[in-house]
Amino acid sequence: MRTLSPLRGLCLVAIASTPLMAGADPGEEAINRYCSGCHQVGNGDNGWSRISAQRKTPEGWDMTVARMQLMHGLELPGEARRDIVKYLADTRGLAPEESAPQRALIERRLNRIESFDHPSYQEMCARCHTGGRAQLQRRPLEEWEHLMHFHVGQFQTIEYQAMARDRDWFDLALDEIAPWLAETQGLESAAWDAWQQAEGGSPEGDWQLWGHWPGEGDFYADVTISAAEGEDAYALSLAGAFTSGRSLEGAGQAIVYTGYEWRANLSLNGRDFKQVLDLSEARPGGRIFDDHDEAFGMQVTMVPSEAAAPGLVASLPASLKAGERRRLVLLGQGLGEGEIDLGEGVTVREVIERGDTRLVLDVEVAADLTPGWLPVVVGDRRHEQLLAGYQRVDRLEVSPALGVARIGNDRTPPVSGVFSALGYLGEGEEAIPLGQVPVRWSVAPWDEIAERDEDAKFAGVLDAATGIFSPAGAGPNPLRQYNANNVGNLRVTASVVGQETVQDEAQLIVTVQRWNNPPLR
Amino acid sequence: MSNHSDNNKTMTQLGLAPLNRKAREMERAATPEALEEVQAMQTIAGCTSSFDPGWEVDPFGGVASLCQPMEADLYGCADPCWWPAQVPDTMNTYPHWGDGADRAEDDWRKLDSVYPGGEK
Repeated sequence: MRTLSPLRGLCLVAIASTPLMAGADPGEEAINRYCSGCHQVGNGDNGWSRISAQRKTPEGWDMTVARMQLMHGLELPGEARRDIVKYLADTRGLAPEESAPQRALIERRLNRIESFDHPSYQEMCARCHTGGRAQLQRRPLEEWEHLMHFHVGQFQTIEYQAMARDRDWFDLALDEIAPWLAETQGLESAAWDAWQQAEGGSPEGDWQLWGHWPGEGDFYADVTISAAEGEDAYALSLAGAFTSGRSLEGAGQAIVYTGYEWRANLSLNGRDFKQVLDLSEARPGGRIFDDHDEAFGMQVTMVPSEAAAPGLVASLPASLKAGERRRLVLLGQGLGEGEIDLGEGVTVREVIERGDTRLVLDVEVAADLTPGWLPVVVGDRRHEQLLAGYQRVDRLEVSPALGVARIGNDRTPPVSGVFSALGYLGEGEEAIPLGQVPVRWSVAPWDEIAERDEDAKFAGVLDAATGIFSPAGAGPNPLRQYNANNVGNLRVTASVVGQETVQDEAQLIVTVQRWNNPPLR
Repeated sequence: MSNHSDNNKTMTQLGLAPLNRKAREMERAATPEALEEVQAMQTIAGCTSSFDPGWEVDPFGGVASLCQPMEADLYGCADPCWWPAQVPDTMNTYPHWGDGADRAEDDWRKLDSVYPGGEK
């Protein structure tokens, strides 16, 4: 059960207004100006035909407006598009519980296999786009039926393709899929009703954020959020560091949709990113990612600097290796005073930085450290399972198990392969996670066909230190048989530094570009 | 359905000899059931699992049986709206996508992404 956050219902002023209150909201005005020529204005809460019978994420509404531009010749300024999306996401959005199962799709985490509670939904719908794309919508039966009709009308060979020509696709879509969606994803829901009634707060203030930057390492940052011009608009600044000591600076602009859907454009150490957070959580989580290379991203967690309950919330890194000396960062609240004890075998050589929310320490780990959890004590704060110590890594786990990278050029930028290797101490359910441990990466052909076609030579380069695969360029390659593209089927292996026999591997498909790249794939 | 059972026969059973590399790869599937199984297999989010012959991944979970180079038959995918979530369909939605890039094998650098900007 989700805890009630002070941020709930941030946008409820907008939600409380009816669509027909002229002049109440720029989004409403824009809909009346640009949409109501086709979408009839109804009475009361009904709003506009079709529009008011659907609920979606901000990305879902943006894709709908884009579709109106592409397929129906709608012309509207960018500002009106933003206003419309804001208004519709606020008044016809998804409750946090409704978007929760598909956060990965909203955060554009694509290297995963979907699964569904319907025997043919995968083949019927999710063979072209993600199943999550439709699962982030709420409609009554009639509207789901309209969606099926739209697909057959717009994509006219849909019934001839594999997994459609072997069945009566259209009747199955109408008779099985639409009713299932209407039942499981109907327009009305208790969660949405409750969310509209919830009291809200503001994200303005000071936060602490942390995550792992691929190829750079763990990082932390103080985040200051302040109100900006525009409805639910904010400016944010970040100041922090990697655990290596290298500084991390950034700034950005954000809009909060539906009272909890934080969307920001960030610049971090000079690189542009998108940020997606779910502010309904007491500790908002989400992802920072490169909009043009979505594989390059980092899961982040953010806590208010003035937390309700003091305590330790994170250790960067999550584990210490026997015999090493390094920087250790502890995050939490109420850490400003009291004795620091990291358990037997770990000596604090220097307190580099100490504040109420953060400790940056120079620690030395004994060569004869006893492997296991290291109890962390800072004054009255104590955490038994925040930091682990190890002599040897017992098991390594590479993720994703199957990754897809794409060749590219300036029009369709390449998509990287970004792998990480998590270590474990012990086996089974009792295993202690060590977080990302030092590994060396290598790449090889996946099978004899890939070896014959020299995929490892043509498809790109894997950085042995970071696990980041940079795909080769797009276009036919005259050096390959049949002028084939620089595609490949590769085996990516990580081995623990100093323990080369402790390995894990993953499959990396390097494939061709896609030109149709909406925010929800 | 007779057509369906024909679909389950190997090319050899149908009296056909695989002529090119792709056909030989298809023949590699040990049994028709195995081929159906791989075809029904899910794939990674953002990739199509319509494996005829597949856009990102082929029916065998690799890339060797894809049309290659894809530019050689790109408009053969775009015109009949074959992978509309990946390749802009020129049949209906993006009729002018390939304008000015008449021969994709030479003009592929001119082809643009189609999702219109303006999002947050």
